[in-house]
Amino acid sequence: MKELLEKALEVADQAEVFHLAEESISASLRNGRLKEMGTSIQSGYSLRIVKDGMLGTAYTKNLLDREELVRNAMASLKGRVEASFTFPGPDEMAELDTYDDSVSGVGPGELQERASGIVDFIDGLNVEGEVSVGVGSGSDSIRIVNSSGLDVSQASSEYGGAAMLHYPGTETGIYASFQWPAPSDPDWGYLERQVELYRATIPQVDIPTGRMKVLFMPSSLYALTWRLGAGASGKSFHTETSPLLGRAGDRVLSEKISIYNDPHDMSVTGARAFDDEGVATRRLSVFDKGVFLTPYVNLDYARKLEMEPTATGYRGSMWGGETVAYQPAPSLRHLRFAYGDSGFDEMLAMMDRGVVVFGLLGAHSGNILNGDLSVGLNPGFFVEDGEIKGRVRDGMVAGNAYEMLQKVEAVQDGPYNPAGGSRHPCILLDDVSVSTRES
Amino acid sequence: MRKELRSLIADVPADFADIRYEVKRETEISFAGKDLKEVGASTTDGFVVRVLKDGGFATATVTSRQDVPRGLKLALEAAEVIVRSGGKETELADAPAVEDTVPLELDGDPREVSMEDKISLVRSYNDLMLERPEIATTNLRYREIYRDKYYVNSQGSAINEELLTSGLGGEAIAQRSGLLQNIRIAVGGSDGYNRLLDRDEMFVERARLAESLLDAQPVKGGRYNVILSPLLTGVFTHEAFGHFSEADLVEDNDSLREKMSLGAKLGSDQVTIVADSTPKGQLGYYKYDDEGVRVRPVTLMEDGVLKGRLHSRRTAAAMGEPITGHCVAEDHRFAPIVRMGTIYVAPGEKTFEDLLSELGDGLYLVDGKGGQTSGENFTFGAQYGFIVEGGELGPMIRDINIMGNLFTTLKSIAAAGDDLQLSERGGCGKGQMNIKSALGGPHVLITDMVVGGV
Repeated sequence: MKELLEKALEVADQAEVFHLAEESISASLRNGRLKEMGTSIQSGYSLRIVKDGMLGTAYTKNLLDREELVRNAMASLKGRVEASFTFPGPDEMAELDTYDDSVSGVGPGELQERASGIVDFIDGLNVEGEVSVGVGSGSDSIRIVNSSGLDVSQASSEYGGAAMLHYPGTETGIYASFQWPAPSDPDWGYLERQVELYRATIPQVDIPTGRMKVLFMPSSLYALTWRLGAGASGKSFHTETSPLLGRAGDRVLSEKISIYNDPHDMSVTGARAFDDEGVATRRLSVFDKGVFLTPYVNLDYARKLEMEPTATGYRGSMWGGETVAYQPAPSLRHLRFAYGDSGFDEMLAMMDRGVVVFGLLGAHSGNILNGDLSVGLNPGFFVEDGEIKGRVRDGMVAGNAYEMLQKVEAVQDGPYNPAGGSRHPCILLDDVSVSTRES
Repeated sequence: MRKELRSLIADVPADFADIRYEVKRETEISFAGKDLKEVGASTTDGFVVRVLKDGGFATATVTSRQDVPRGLKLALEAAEVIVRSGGKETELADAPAVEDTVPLELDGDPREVSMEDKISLVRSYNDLMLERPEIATTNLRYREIYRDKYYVNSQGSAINEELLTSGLGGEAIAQRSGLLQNIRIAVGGSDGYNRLLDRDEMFVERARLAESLLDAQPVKGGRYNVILSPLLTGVFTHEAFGHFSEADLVEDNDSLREKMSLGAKLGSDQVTIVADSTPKGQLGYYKYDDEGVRVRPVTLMEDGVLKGRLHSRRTAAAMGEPITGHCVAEDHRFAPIVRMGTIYVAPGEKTFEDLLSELGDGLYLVDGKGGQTSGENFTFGAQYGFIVEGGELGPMIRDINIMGNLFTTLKSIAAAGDDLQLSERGGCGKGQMNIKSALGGPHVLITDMVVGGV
């Protein structure tokens, strides 16, 4: 990498090399039988250069020809993409122990045994429908070197999976997921509770169209956070298209809602000491008790908006893709909700009549920047007098995320899934539009 | 390269092995509003190996050639674990050994167009949209993907096929008094660069539509009879039915297999659905899939009756049905899975005016805004629409998303129009992205759809 950096600096004023290496193994079981196993050993390099205030970029998977990579980056300078930022130098970084060596020993045999253990546990609960289980183990290492003297690296490990409980005769259902930094069992108590939820929601119910209380579970909250994130992004501020433009310091959501980015949260996997531009990470509060505080930015938008970097520049997209192929963009990758003061059962009890959104379809289809959403329940559960009556047939929930989050009845007092990837709470909203086949 | 690939799998102690090596060159130009955000062209490559041993089937993907032996070793180990643990026994349906080279056939090769000229083209379309008075910003991205694929298997196949897709996609965002509305833009295909030229009118029209949405009303949620535009028919077909025609989604669920058995009447008499990636010049064209099987047209549904299914060699053997050539990977980072390619509803005989008259009161919904499938449930969004009263188009509406269930909605298709249109850009994410997932159809009339509304 240093050699590539030196070659780049022969022709450029500034340069940065980003390297990512990943290894993973996964297994999937259906009805107790191991169906598929796959291994992936991937790596890649991304080069950014700045010359005369212009940005050049290139990437490759196999670093066989350093000069070709530099030539590709030089060629892209012709586009005259402005780059007024400076790559960051060395800084004090958080010390995060994100790698557990035991993942490197996880082979097909151990993965199969661990997955079978989950299947055996679920079998013991006599689930009515079919069951799918997927487990995987992996590690990655990131290193960034740049012309400002930065040379940082971080290794991370992850072991996780999910059990999908299919409603009888269908391919839909609910799932219980888990993620740990090292090979470990799921939270069995949580898995047992999910089986109980599954049983309670096997009956299909038809409910009338109308406005009612809606409880978003962690697995569906992304429909709301996607819209808030689009509005709070430095990109939307720069193009002056954010609904939050000029609203810093205003209460735009219920005071029950606080949202922050915490890359140092070690209770979940994925903690980071630096972002994908090498900026030392820190906690960033975006909404505090409903008050909008600040947009989040990468180096480029920090400069454009004349603000300090927020260490939220990451490569990648929601749709997968090749990490090294993406340029760093503003991202709330470590988004968290502050917990409230209501237990899950208490929140159900607050619902005289309403819908629990476990999963949803179509979150990407709405007018995201404006905050609008119109999503299908997949599944959603009807609640009457605090009791789950079954899953809703062909139901949709719609509204505007900013307006919906002004009518917050309660926020759960902890994570719904103690082993989940986000540790999000459930959030209960009032007066939300629900559409069904019944008028 | 094919000789080298043969040597890499020559001594693999398995009943079957294959290897795919792929070089991918990607060119990107993107604008965010007036800012040129990204310009670049880069090349990546990698290997995918698969082994079948004693009924155990496993895969490995690796970046470096030096990791291929390790990938094969891990795949063999995984295949043995599948067998030892009593896992699923895999067979591969017979497929002819093929040796072939498939070069590109393009109307204008984008690789011969300079980066400066490409930037100039994208900038000109971007400027046309930004010139509109209420367009606040745009996101516009040129993307060109060239793939040079080499496939070799232990049964004698050795294929080199080149694929190239180029296109422009993005959105125009209109703004008035704090209200933001967007319209998506997509032009492109697999048949060359010239398709992207002289499209000024289309970009201006899309920008105008975004501005018109500022005056549109949010649709009221509820149950409606609707007419879908041809491209929205395509999204509906892809989401509501197409994924369930992919054999890997139904093969392990006995009750679903029974419901989806060939000969079952799942749709109304008006519904004929075809998957056909073979015509040259359309987005979804390819000759061989990523396990060396030549793709063929498949009639999936005829007059509402299930007639065919899309397969890999593995699913074809498991379900006792013929191979179709639909096992496709995004690129060198992925093992192939069953993908639908180009799918469309066959046109009927009614004009758009006939359909409006038949609809009477309802909604006319236009252009897809993405869809999603989970099990037999699906959603899809429309970019805009119109209220229809007495067979006449009325006020414009927005914020339209529709939900349905495979087993009820296909029976609700009341009529199909006589027009057929295929999409110019794709993008289906079934674990991995398929940018060649073309879709389309004619206008169709569907009854009793649940529309989410504010």
